[in-house]
Amino acid sequence: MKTLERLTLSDISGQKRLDIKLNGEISLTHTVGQVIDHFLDSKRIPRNRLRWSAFSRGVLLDNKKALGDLSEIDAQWRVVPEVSAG
Amino acid sequence: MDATLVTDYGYRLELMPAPDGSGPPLFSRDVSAEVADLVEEALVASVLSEDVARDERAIRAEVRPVWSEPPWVAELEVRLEVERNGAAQVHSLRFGSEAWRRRALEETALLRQRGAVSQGAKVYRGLVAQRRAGGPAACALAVDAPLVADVTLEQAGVRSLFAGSLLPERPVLVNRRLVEEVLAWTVQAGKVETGGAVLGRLARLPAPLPGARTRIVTVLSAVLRDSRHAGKAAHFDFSPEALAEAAQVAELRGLGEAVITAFHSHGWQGKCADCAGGGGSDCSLPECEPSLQDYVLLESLFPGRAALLPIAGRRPAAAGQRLAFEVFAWRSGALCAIPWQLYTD
Repeated sequence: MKTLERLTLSDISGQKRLDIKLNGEISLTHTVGQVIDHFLDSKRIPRNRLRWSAFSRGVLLDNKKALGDLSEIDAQWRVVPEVSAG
Repeated sequence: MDATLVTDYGYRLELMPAPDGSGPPLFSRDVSAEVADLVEEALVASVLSEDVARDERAIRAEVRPVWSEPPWVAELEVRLEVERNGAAQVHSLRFGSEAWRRRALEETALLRQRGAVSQGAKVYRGLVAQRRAGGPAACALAVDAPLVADVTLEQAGVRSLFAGSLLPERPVLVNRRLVEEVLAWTVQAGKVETGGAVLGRLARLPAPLPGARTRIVTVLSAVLRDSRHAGKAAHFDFSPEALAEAAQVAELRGLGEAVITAFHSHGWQGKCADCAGGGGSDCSLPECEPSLQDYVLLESLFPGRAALLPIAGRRPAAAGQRLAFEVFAWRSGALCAIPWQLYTD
């Protein structure tokens, strides 16, 4: 399995985007949850005390999983909160 | 898009017991950092209106207070300066304290809960500007330019235009089938809220549509409901799994769409059709306006300032059909209903 070298994160609409080259600020030892936090901070997206998840190819990624355990086909994530309308 | 944000002032949101600002504030918080959100909104709006190119590299954004009476601010002026052919070109947008309305409402509710303000007492919102001690501050602000595809109207999936009108600087087209489906589902769901993903795109046409001054149009093309989303009265939970799957569906359709927003209803019951307002003592349905929770939804799920929020629900004051489909957009720091036009695909 070839490991990740780059990652692209976006919100569900793709309008807020972050390209990450791994082994810089983010490395293969970082977890999915940590990368989501990095994305939210970089894009000034308020957490609003919500639970945030990343999806790759429509599949939920485990927030505790290290990037080193993901394959290169999981290089594009959509970051989605569990949120309600009122 | 990289901008340099320059501001000479710090800003505080204050809640006051009197409209003239006399007496100690009930609440006071530094909101200087949130000014960046207004600059982002101004930048995105300027790109969508084609006043600023989306690949513009050197943008100077300056925020200035427009005084009602110092230190009270009536509005904030965001000036975007870009260089064109060796000369500075300035676009200016103004923002009221509406941007902090939501925060003010939340804090007022907390003050009432704590007993600091009695239930009937009025609370007034104000924005205070204070000149920075160290002089003007400049910081870098990176903003994602809206993703826009160059296509013809036909390539955007639009066959014919129908009823409606366009905001010249932010034209929005909505598929007639989408509106019919949303309204039917809203009636069907009754007091329970319904909702789903909305597919669409931002398209730059060869020329502006009649009534528009920008070529960039937002097209809302289809809705996807999913049983994993769950509604009840005055509440609608969006399932992240269902939204992620909707994004996959958008890609598979191969029309250049994305899950551009999500719709939800604010409830409807048969007697709403005859309601002239007030709703009576037994009416608990919210009107077709964004709630505080809807702001949380939009800024979390669709954090780009190009995002729209469609809501279906009752409009008691409206003439004729009181079941409405409204589209809200970021305008002056708040979500405001904007006009839109129907199309068929």
